[in-house]
Order: sequence, then structure tokens, then C-alpha cells
Amino acid sequence: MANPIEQFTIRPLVEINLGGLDATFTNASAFMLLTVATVTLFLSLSMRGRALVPGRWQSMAELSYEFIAGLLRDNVGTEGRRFFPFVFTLFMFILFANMLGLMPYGFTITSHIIVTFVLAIVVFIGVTAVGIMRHGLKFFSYFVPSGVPAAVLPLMIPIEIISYLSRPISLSVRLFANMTAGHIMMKVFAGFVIPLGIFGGWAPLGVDVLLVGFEFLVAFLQAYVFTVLTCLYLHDAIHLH
Amino acid sequence: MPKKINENNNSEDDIDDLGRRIKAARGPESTDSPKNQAPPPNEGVGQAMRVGAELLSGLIVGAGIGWFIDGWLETRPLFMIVFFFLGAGAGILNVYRSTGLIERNDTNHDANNNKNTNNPIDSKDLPE
Repeated sequence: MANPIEQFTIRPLVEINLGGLDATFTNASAFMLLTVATVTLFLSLSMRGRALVPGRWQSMAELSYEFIAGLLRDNVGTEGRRFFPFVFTLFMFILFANMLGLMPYGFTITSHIIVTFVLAIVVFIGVTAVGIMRHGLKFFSYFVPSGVPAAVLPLMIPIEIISYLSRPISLSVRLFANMTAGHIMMKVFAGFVIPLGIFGGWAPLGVDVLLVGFEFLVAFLQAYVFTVLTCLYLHDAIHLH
Repeated sequence: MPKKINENNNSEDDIDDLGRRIKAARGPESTDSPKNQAPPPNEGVGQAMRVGAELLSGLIVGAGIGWFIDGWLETRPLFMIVFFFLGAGAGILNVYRSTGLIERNDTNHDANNNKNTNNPIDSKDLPE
């Protein structure tokens, strides 16, 4: 039976060595570039017509724009508009990375925790910087929960700080675990199709068909969740609480 | 002259009416934002995944901080144990917050009504 986690192997395509630093161009790098290229092509080509009444492609581009703009308006408020380029880029990158991973022969870059962790740590550092720039030292009052007796504050403040520091971990683990688990599940069922033969093999094949549909939902949902949480963190940093 | 005013009124009425009709047509649609939509199927799996990630991340960060402090002060098991439990607390706090069982604060951000009354910690100003 095929190894269900073989699909996550990183294979070097072009060996690059930058002064002792291993900067090899791998299949993961290739799919990151492909993701960026696909998003750029999708948005620029579909908006090329600039029709007043949008066609199918322009509708999709406008839909994604309005989706993220609405998300920012609902979760961050009017101050959130300044962060639209970043949040939109983040959403489109994750969405297209997840979707490209579902294509046949595709490689899912978001199934590697280091990729999702870098995305999460960029959000975390950025949001913290926004909070400190807006509020100065008052930002640290965020770690002091309100309405708590002074006696338990020595316990609550470390817990609040750990809870805050755990954001990039939970953000990255959620995306990574969902993508990895889904792809392993599909592969495991696919691995049963041939060994079960012409009569038994149809059942896991049917399950896999269902799973593919489900995985498309998960791919979108996880990009959405990542973006919503980024918006919520931005809201916390801007409004403190 | 009066005819003209009448005409004006008519067209304004028309515009108001049109606005009302557009609003009525949009009404049900605008409540259909992603927030109010019914949860997708298999929401249970997603929620389990979410809660698991929250719980785990608190533990990882807590134990990690303890491990680093131990390596720095050479007090190997002490701080790791202490921060393991703090991390567990943070993980549980994360779960409660992410599932919406408790809010971060009982005050609304745009209505800081009880900021100075029954919030002794918040009113204590930190040095700027």
C-alpha cells in the first residue's frame, strides 16, 4: 500500500547554496511561487475588462475583494481598512495554496508546519507592533484581566501572557493539522481501492469522492478561519479588549 | 408653478419609494453574511480540531517557556513544572475564549461605561 505521508516529502529541484546557507529550490518553493503567480494572474486577468457589469471572472475577483473588505469592516471596524492589503494577501495566499494542494500531483505547502508557523508569526509580530505603536506602554494593560480580584492577579497575568504567546502556535497548528489530516485521510482511503479489488474497491473510492468535496470545504474554511482570527487579533490590538 | 412643485414632490416620492423597495429587496440578503449562516456540515470535527489546537498551543508555549528558564537558571524540573500548569491554564482559557463561553471583557469596546466605576485594574493608569 502506498505510504500515506509520502505526499508531504520535500524534494530538491535546484540545489542552491548561499555561502553555507542551504537555499535549495524545492517542490515547496515551486508551489509557493505557483500560488503567488496564480493569485496574481487570477486577479489581474479577471479585472482586465473593468466592466461596469462584471462578467464571471470579474465577479469572482470582486467577490473575494468584498468578502475580505466585509470581514475587516465587521471584525475590526473602519480602522481596519488600512490593513486590507495585508489581510487580503494573506487570505488569497492561504486559499490558493490549499486549493492548489488539492489538484492532482499538487503539493500542499500549508501541510508543513513551518510554512503555517511563519505566516502566523508574521501576523503575531505585526499585530503586536500595531498595538504597541497605537497604545505605547498602555498596550501591556492588555495582559491585566479586568474584574479580577488583586489576589489572583499574580496567577492570571502569566496565564494571560502565555495565552497571548500561544496565538501563533494555535493559529499555525490549526491550519497545518487540518490540511495534513485531510490529505492523509484521502490517501489512506485511496490506498484501499486497488488492494480491495474490483468488487470491494468501490467503497473506499466512494468515500474518497466525498472526502475530496469535504477537503475543498476545509481548504476554504481554514483560509477563512485564519483570516478571521487575524482580524480579531487586529481588533484586539487596535481597541485593547 | 404649483404644477412644477407637484412634479418635484412626485419624483422625490418616487425616489423614496425606490429606495424603500431596494432596501426591502436587500433586507433578507444582507442578513445572510457569513456570520449568520448556518454552520457547515462536519462542524463537529472542525470544532474538535479548533479546541484541540487551542488547548495544545497553551501547553506547548507554557512548557516551552519553563524549559527555557530551566536551561538558563539550571533548575531543571522546577520551572518546567510550574509553567506546564500555567500553560494548561492558558490552554483552557484559550478554549473558553474561542468557544465564546466567556468574553474577554464584559465591557463593549465602543461603550466603556464601567471602565472607571467597577474596573479598578483598568482605571489604574500605566506610565505612558
